[in-house]
Amino acid sequence: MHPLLADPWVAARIDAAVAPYRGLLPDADLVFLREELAERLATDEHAARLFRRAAPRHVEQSGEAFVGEDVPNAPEVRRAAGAGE
Amino acid sequence: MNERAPSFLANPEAANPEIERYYQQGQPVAEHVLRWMGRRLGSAVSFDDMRSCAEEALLDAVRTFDPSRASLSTYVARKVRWAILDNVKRERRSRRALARATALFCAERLSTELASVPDDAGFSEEDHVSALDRLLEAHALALALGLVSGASTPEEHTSRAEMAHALRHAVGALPERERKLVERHYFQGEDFDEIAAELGISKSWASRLHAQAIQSLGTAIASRTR
Repeated sequence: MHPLLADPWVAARIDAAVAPYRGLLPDADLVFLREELAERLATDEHAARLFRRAAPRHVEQSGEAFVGEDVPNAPEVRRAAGAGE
Repeated sequence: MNERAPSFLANPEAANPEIERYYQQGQPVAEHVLRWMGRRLGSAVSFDDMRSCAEEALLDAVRTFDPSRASLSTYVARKVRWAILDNVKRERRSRRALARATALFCAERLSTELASVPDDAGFSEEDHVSALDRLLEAHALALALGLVSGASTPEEHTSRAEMAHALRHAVGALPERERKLVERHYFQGEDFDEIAAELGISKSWASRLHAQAIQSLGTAIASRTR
């Protein structure tokens, strides 16, 4: 699983984007969509910029993302760029 | 990526410190994209072929990089992705990976176009969250459209039949030029640039129409569940 999907806030946004495709695409394709959307947030400049602005409490400019106390069960730190390697 | 220095870096006369610096900085980016693409496309594509494409793309990227137009990491990542995907589309033996490659191609084309558009997401955190949601919605559609149009086996066509039906319905409601662009490129397999020429529009305008079409289709499909 992509590291960004461990963050409930991110996972919720991505799941909402994938939801319309449930019942239209097979499960393997839905997994592909989730993973690829997370990768876009991590490596696509435009998407990453919007992500930083939308979640300023979670993502630092350095690329280290800190998850605040208001997000339960989230990892302490996640990478906003180059995730997964 | 490759421990050996490329020949143009090894040749002192041809060596350019700036290009060499770009190469060193771009290597980990190319490596990341290569490994990610390897996982996304699976065993249907030769990893050695992908590595070869990635290395060529990295060399091309560092030679043509313009710092005023994009960051090095974005430029290298984009070049490497395009090179790998283009190779998958050309190689018949990679047919099993064609649908995913087409999906990534479609998302990449959308990313390229959106990167050139100034941000207009408002000022509040709520505005930014809304813009992020719309972007994810558009990218999800781009990936789904690519999966449908790149389907190459009977099993893939069957499992994505409902998606194909919903997409064709939504495409039919697009403005004429956007509809023609999407239908001809994704459902009839015509070359994007040739369609633009036949429609009498520039490549950049065609890319803009493509992005508009993808965003409209994303909204249309999302509205089914609202």
